[in-house]
Amino acid sequence: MPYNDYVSVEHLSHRFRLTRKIAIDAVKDVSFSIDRGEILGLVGESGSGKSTVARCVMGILRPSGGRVTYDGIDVNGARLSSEEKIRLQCERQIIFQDSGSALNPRMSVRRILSEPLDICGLARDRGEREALLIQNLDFVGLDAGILESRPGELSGGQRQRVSIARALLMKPKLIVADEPIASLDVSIQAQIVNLFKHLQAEHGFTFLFIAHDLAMVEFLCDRVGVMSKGRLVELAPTRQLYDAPRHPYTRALLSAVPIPDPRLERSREIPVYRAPEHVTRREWTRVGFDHYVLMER
Amino acid sequence: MSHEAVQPSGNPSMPTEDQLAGELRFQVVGRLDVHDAPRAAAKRSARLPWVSIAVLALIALGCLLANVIAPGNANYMDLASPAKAPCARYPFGTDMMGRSIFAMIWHGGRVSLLIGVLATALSTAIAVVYGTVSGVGPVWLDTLMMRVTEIFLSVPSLLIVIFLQAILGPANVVSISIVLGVTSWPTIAKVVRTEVRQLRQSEYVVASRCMGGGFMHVLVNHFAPNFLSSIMFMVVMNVRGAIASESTLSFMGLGLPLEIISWGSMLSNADRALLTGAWWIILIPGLFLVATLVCMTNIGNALRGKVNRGERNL
Ligand SMILES: Nc1ncnc2c1ncn2[C@@H]1O[C@H](COP(=O)(O)OP(=O)(O)O)[C@@H](O)[C@H]1O
Ligand SMILES: [Mg+2]
Repeated sequence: MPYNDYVSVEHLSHRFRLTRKIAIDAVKDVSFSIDRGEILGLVGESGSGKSTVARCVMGILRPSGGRVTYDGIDVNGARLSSEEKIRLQCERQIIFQDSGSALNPRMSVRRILSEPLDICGLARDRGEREALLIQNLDFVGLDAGILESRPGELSGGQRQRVSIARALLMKPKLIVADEPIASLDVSIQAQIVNLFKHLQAEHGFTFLFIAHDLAMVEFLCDRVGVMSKGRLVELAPTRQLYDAPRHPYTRALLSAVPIPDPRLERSREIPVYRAPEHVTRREWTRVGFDHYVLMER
Repeated sequence: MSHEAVQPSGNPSMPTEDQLAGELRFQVVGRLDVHDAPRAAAKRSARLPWVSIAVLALIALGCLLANVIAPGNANYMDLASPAKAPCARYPFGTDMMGRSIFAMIWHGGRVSLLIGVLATALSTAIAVVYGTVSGVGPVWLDTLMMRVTEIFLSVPSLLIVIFLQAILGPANVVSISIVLGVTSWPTIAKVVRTEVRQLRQSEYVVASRCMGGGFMHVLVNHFAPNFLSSIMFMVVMNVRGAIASESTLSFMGLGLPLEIISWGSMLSNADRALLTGAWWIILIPGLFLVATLVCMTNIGNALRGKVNRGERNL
């Protein structure tokens, strides 16, 4: 698979050492790249290593193998110039699943939003800062009245909007969202996904969107990667993946989506995916235009 | 009365009475509940040791205004009247060298409190930085740093204090504050480390690091507000401990020399005072010292109670 020069993840693996003897291979040999302005979805059951990939892309975790580059800069590079460090900090932003713990409960929304500005020393002038905060709240559909509230006083949807506003403040070029809608009500999920779609169209950032809700991913993403047990098993343009899934795990995942008709739903058979036991060879194979599958034998 | 006694229990008039009584009871209880509960709760959580705060504030104010209350040099020796019992001229009497104890109490209190505050500021600063480094550091560093604190805690601190004081030479206010400061940080550091260890996993801390927030930024904005309430009690106790240690040291003749007046150095006259029966020389500074320590203990305990009652934000 060809890498492009924007975000590329090459043979990434990560092993969590629990004790001297026990270790978990959370991510094994994952490779993909993201184009500028693209929305890439990453799906897979819980524990499949999606968050670990996201954390490696953000440089929160140092991968135990492989590398991640952002616009040619090695994210975990030991010798980065200060200019490169600042670019990495400002141009990449992360949005977490649980907005309740992603916002410091002791800070007002104003202080939460000011934090990235304070760190980078931007918009020091009071009036300028105020205008910037209000503008960014406006982007995510909140009004200025919320500035003095604390996260505990807001609803889950409002908190997630504040998280998004905080990420947007730095005018990022890459946003990594780790299950940003998983802790929200279904109706709010739809609102937030719509907001993402709208913001992405408006601001043109690149977006790595991690989720387990396949319907939301289908609606939002240009391309989708499927992860299972720490490996990326299939990567394809959204339509292609949903219409013609190739890997058995992807098929099982897609058919697990309930059909909104009780009679059909009851009668259909859900294929169960069993990982092959003795895999001797794994090959990353191209099976269609931009469609790749991990062949296991 | 006889009417009630005659009525059998199964009388049809009983249910109405019961109902009435029930209704009445319901109303009364309901009203009492609603009006009383919040007030009682508020009172309980707001119980502060006002007496201790007032006494401590008075002593501190007196020490701050020492130059107004007792102007002039507190070291002035009225050689004509040594060891004079309290009188109109010397409200608290004079010591063996004819110095006014009244003046010495306020001027000396200043030194004692200053040592308490300086030593605690130093030890808290060390503890916060040490605890945070240990809390955010990798496991091996954390283990190493915690072992060091345990070793530190297992050696009697007075021994270390005496040892350090011997290295630093003749004591003065600054050197004794430093010595007391660098020996009293480990307990606070342990608490800071525990809190930081839990907090560093929080996503808002991770997010802050991602945005480029450095060690100091995260410490000041995210860690400190969380652990401050739980170390407050220990900080107050540290002030208390430093004042007590200074007195102990001076009393033993290892602390401040006689010409630097503090409550402790005033007490170091005790042996001679006891021989001559001049109780005021030892009792009055002792009283001030004990009052200050007791007040601080009360305030510290109240702070600890408040922390335990309040909700935690982890
Ligand atoms: N900090 C950690 N320490 C140890 N193991 C971890 C840690 N984080 C994740 N893991 C393990 O790594 C695997 C992948 O986790 P994760 O990336 O969070 O999956 P996902 O986000 O897809 O649910 C899981 O088995 C999980 O138990
Ligand atoms: Mg996850």
